[in-house]
Amino acid sequence: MTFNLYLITILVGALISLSALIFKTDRQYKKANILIFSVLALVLIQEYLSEVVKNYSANGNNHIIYNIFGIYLLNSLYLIFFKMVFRSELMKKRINISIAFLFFFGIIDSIFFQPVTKIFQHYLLIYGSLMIILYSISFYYKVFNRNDYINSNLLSIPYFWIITVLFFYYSSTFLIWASFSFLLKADYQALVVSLFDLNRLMAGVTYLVMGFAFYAPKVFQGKYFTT
Amino acid sequence: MSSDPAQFVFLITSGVLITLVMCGFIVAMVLFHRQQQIRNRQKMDHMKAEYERTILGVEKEIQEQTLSFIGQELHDNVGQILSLTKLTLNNPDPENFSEGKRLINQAIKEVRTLSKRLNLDWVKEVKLLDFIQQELQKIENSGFCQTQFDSNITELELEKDQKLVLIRIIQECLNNTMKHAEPKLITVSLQQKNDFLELMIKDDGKGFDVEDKSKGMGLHNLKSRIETIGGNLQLFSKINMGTEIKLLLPFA
Repeated sequence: MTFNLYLITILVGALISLSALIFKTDRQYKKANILIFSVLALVLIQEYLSEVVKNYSANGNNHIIYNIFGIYLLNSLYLIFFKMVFRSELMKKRINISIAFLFFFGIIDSIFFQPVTKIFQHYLLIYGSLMIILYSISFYYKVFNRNDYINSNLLSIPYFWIITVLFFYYSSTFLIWASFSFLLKADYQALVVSLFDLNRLMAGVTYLVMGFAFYAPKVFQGKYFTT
Repeated sequence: MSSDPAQFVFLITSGVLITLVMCGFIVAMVLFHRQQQIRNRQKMDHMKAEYERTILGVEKEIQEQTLSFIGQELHDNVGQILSLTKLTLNNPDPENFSEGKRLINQAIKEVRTLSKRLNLDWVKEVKLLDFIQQELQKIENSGFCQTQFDSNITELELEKDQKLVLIRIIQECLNNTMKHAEPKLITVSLQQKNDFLELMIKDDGKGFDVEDKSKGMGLHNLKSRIETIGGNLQLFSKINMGTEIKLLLPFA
């Protein structure tokens, strides 16, 4: 996916998410809609800023942008999104702890392993991805074992769409970054480049689906029976 | 941008594969969810039928009990008053005539009281707290044993069906205690805890072995009844140590 196409995808996702907010598609998802719009706007700013920094800074190092926006802010926002999805106080508490750990590991990582301004902190990305995957699985568990949303059409729930794309995107991110060192050592650089391209393609799809997700209650309501 | 054709092919193939996997995943989720919904709907229908059956059963039992009580009252009370009236009016002097008139008035009053018990509307009117106190008073008046009532509730709003089931369970528990336990003291406690109602019926009687299967049926009935109104029953009993039944009913 070319960089411009990727940026356009994020922009379209953000605009559609904003339009869902303006047209008040479903009031019960208003807060989540605001959050997802913020995520998309943040990703857009991140990508734009990183490109600016890359082109205009002396060494072309834009890791600080990806670290601050892509890891700390974005992962925190996704975890806050999961806090909105889960109603149980225990889950909310667990998510708070996960966010606290993200920053705690961030400090440790920045001091001892991957300085925030110099290297992309992929250990933290692996941690963040793992948290998102685990909370996505918890969501599916709640849907099927606790009978949450039993009276609704699953496709009409924006959370389902967002969590499904996040689950796939972060699964691939987790696999790529967990095997990153191994792939580089094994001299699979061409494969690494292709995998990053693939990851970007999935990111584009993710942001697009996230933008459309809040139209799901209107599009899919009543498409199959509700009890 | 992927300039190498091999990379481009890789990207397209993987993209298509991942899309297919994702679509398959979503379809599988939706199908599984639909199955869950169908199962849940069947379960709800079954629970609704069970609930209606229980309510009907409870109403029937209360009606039968009321009718049997009325039959007994007609025979032992009104019948006796009318027989006495007949005997009194056999000697038509003014004093007997006045006594006969008083007896007839008493019979009319007794019949009116009885007629009120012929329908279940009293369940709507009666307060659970008053009902428990009346039942315990009856036991105490009969001289069977001492009773004690304890509650932290001043005002309790329950739906008619919930009240009906609770009333029936309380009656059944008290009857069982009187029939089998030989207690010296029956304690009933009605407490409002955070988000549920706790009703405890306790006696210091003979107790029984809770593992004994022969006692299981009555207990099963009680349990299924309280479950139909969303509650839960807990039983604790030991031989010679008495029995304690706890009913927990969450507030909607």
